[in-house]
Amino acid sequence: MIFDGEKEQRAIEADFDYIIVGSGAAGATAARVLADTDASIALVEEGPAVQTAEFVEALFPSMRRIFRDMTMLTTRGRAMMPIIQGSCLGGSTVVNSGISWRIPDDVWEPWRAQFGLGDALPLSQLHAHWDLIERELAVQATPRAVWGENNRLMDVACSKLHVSGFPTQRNVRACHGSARCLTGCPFGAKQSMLVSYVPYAEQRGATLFTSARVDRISIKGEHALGVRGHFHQPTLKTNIAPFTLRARKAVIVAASAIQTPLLLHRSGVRAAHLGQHFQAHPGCSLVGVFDQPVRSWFGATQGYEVDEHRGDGRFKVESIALPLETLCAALPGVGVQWLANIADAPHMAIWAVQLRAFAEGTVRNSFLGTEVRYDLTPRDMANLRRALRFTAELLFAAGAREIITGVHGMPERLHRPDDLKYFDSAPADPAAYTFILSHLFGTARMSVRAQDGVVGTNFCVHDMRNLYVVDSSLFPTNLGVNPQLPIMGVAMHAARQLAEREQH
Amino acid sequence: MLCWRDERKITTVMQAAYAQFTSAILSASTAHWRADRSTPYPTFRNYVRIEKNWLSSSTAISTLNRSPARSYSESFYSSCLMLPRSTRIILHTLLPSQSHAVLPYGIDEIGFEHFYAELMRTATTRLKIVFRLAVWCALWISPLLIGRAPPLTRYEDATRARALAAMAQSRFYLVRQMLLVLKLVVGLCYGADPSVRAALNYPVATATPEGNPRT
Repeated sequence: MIFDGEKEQRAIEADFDYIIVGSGAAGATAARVLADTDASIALVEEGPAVQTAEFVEALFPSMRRIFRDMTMLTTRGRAMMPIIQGSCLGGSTVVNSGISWRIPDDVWEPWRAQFGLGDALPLSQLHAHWDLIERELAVQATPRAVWGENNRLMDVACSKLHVSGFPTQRNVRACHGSARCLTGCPFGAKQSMLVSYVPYAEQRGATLFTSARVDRISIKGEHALGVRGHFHQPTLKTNIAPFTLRARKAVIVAASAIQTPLLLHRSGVRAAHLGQHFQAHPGCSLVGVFDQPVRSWFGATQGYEVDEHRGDGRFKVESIALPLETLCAALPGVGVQWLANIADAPHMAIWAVQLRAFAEGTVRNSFLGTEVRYDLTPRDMANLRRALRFTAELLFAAGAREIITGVHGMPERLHRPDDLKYFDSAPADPAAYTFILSHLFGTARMSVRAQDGVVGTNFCVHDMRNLYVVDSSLFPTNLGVNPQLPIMGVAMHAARQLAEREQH
Repeated sequence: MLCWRDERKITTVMQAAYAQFTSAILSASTAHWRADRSTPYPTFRNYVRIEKNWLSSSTAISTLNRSPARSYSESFYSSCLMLPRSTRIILHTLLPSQSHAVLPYGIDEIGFEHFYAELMRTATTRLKIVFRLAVWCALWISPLLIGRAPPLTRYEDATRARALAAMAQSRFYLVRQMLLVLKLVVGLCYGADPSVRAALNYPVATATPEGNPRT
């Protein structure tokens, strides 16, 4: 059953066993697990219920409809980085490329040793959850048939330079290679939560509330009583009608590393670490121009990746097919020169660096709205320069005629491998680069002791009895890999624990 | 001599006459358009109406991204006056018409008026403010970067292009970002335009997945 907030004109009050706030990777996975029990579930999503048939290729309507704040939320600091988040039924899984990684051992080990989370997040059990999720969501290596030229060129570069690269593991069934992952798969091939776990939960009785913004969680003493909010028109942010949902057993927050701490804070949860330790994976890209057409509009959006320096350099390189609208904005020049660059678009390959940054920021509400403060550290900038140099090396190895750097203070174009030396003296100021920010973590981190974090090892907010957090905000560090599958695994683990606890 | 009541009466009559007059002009100038199209003429007043309809329609996403501009004459759109003149000049400098062999489409040919109206109607406040700031920056700051007095609209095309290009090289981060915002907003319209996509062999952006087979 679905209550579409855009159509609801009346106030709603209802009781459920579990109320899950957020329908992204974490919320939908929790709903999928709890839907197998006898419990009644409400899955509340701030964004609209957009169906597969509604996904359009043009970026502007998609930005308006399925991205949070039209991607206009930026970090404050030396560089303004737009934060990319989905805001629709299925959350960011609708607008990502479906890349699925398990938490690498070298990332999990500090969680165990330094943060004491070995028992709370046992790797063996997480692997069992990931096995199940990978089966259910058809996670597999990108088939060669839908590599397209963009991904194939990266494979060529890896072979030439003998570096570790491979087709990405993605949760896609029968990919059409439409390169439209970022604006919602129009064929329903990508197994986002919209077409997988959300319908699964709905078929088993879960009630969906879409275009339903949770204003606050009602808390009395140590108990979360339910949530209050408004149905609204998500694009124009106009309220339509209020709703009140009461939770008989628990409220589960899975609203992302930005919205979760803000919601908890609005609801009266106070913890020194709430909204602190914000971590992410800043992304920065280079454009390679080839003599032969690359035609990035055909092929998996992100079908190939290079993890050669994931450990020592804390970065990963991925191919990406940007929508033409975004590519236009990223190209240099004004007037005729800009047009000439745009005309070269079919010959361009865009390869992006995903940096596992050391930087930590904060998330809080201010009178201007959500405020995310985040600044890369000098160590991050050193890694970034190294990553860009490595990416440029790959592009030249793949046969790029020239590389458009997009770095202020560097030559606009590099024409030969000798020019790679410019990266060694590239600016150390983040403001010289153009970033985007995705993969957000850490703002309600899990800890053994209450004074060290926000969420306990049972996923319950410290000093609360039935208020749970299951999304990436509880991760103590960033991952260096795409977090979709780790988030699902952790949410599945949390939901199973919760279900077992309630049964006993 | 008129007393204040008469003055008020006259004012009311004049206002009514003015409303009648503008209504008649509007009606006459858009008759051909209304005869052809089921959607309303894109004046600000009608956009309010579209917005109300749109709020109650869940299919809006598939209909609002279409750009009908090239079907109508230049004079038709110049009569809309949705886009301020200074903004038009700046964007025309950024994306000139008939200046590139492969991409002869400039800001005038891609239906930017329609897009701009839609942007102002549906974009987040933050984006609207930032776009206006970017236009202001291009108008008043960019000439200073090449040693000229503002505003930018005083100069011929080549100087304007030089001034905008100087924004990209500015030592001030915010100035560089303002140019990026201008290019992003223009790019959102340009990259979605069917003619541009066709010229680059990109698949035309369609409203439904069925209309866009790739394999």
